[in-house]
Amino acid sequence: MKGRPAYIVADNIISPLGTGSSENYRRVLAGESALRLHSGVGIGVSEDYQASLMDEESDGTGMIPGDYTLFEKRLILSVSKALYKAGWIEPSSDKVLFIVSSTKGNIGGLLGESARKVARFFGNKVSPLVVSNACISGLCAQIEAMRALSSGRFDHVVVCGSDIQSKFIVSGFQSFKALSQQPCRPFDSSRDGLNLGEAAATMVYSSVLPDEAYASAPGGKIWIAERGAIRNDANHISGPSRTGEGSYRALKAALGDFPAADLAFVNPHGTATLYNDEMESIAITRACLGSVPVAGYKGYYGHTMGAAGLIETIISMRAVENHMIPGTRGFNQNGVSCPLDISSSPRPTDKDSFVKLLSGFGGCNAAVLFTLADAHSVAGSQSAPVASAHPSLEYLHRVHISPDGVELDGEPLEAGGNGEELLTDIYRRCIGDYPKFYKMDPLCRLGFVASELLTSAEGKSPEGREDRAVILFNRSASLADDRIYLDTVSGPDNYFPSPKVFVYTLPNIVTGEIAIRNKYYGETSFHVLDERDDEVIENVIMQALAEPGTESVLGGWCECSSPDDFEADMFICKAL
Amino acid sequence: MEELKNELKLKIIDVLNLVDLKAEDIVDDAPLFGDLGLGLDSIDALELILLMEKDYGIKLKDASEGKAIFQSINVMADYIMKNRTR
Repeated sequence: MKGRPAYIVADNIISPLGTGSSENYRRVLAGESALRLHSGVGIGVSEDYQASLMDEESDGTGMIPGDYTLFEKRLILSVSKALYKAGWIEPSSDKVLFIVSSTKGNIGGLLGESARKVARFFGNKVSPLVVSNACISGLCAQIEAMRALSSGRFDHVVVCGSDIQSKFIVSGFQSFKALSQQPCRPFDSSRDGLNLGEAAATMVYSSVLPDEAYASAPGGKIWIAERGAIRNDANHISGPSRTGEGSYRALKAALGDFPAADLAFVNPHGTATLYNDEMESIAITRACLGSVPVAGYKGYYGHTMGAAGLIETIISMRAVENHMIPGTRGFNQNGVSCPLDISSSPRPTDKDSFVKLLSGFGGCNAAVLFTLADAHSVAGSQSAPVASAHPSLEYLHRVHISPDGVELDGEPLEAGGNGEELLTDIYRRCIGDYPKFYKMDPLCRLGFVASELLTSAEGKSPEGREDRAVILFNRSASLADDRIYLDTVSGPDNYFPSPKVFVYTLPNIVTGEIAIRNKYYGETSFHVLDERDDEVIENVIMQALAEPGTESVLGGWCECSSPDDFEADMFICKAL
Repeated sequence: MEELKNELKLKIIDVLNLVDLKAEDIVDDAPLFGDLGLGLDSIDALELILLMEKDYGIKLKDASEGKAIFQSINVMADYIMKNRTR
């Protein structure tokens, strides 16, 4: 894809370390952290937990009028502070798109609704996108922004992300034995798990720059998001790949032929779980970046989920502008099998680029390459919108499943049973050789069965392909499974958080299940919309198909609001 | 002991949704994990840790402790006999 460039013109971080990106950067450079041990009893979980939490009383959200949830208020506050710095952008314009990055948003609420409320607050009436791709959402949302600009459809994209920590998320991570009670120690030999965190962050992307944007560029320079890529491990829904497969592939695609020697540093996911950091060390080394400095920030913020991809990108930007490589707080002694160039204290650099990595449940991985360019050299290079960037889609196969029946390529398919029994019946009649089906939650069963019918209609497909993306959309995210999970932690006498239920409360797991079954190493992503909008779905898929390396998409609508209320309208398509 | 082993098999089938499997299909000393056994994975191991706590009052610290105990039905039943609190 070589359409219009994606400049980053403004940003904001609101975190326990402070309000504003610059203050956050200063605190990070000074080695400060807001990680503290919090009482488990306080939120109704079994063990105390180490986390970086925001204070609802003093986080500034009190001044936002109107009927908004805390999640929405934090997004609104962060967006308004970022937009203030980009005063030439009129957020109500239909050339401005809002994208929200969140893993869980308001539990029990609808993410699409929250996104619409945030966009409406700023007078924006364009259908917002929500990227809910587990821990990699923050980079996926930025990649989506780059594509929206490149297509010429939008001139500016406001990307914002946040997550609120709660009993739901803390108990789930505890059930995965993924949390450390100590401040986390990324890549260290004594690391024993991650810490959770809260924050909100915003990045404003533009492809159209007025003179004031150049004038406000720090040191006459401006940030460009050069290339991004999303790839799947096609291995396991929660365990990272032992070969770093997806992360390595995403890194390779994002870097292209960019010389490793020109990178200031790699900013990894670096959660400080045993398996994530090990996996990333393998992926980074495989991509021949073993000698590039590595700087990770989970020791300052914990894992802020939907905000992580934004915060960590912004801190990296500030660092490069100041010719610094931040220290990796918590690191002391190498604890991964492919040793990386990590330091716990800040170091100088004279390079102008960095690459950011994230990995998440569902086997998904993302990488984006950023460069600080001379504003004068890019001035005038902002060509007119690319007119040819709108190829339409060719639908190769199409499947529709609802409690009323099944249709494949327009022909009704014999299957019986009420509600969720219908999906089991389709599995027994048409698939039958994948007992993992019975472990899946209703949303995954629906998406899995639909994808199996599509691939059977398609016939033999090459194993291990990277050129097929899986991109799904719905309205309820994982609402059906969220309710099931809440039942497992409903009270002190009934507190048995189940890891197998928790993992499915991430809606993107369904894309991972499809990638694993078919050995698809390509992009996988999950979007939540306020309501079904086929034009939005088509645009997102067309933009994904404009990426080099993606030839076809298995995608569409995959909605499940309760085990007995579902609709899949999915297809395999390519660009015409 | 035989009773406990059978109970354990039924519970494992139920908790891990091994729908196509019957208790008699699980061999007492066969490995539960890996390609040679039932093909259980890391999430299954975490579910078994939960089962130990919920049904037998045995608290395991982490997944690596579970690994040694979840070798086979024999090893698991033996451990439960010695350590159960309920």
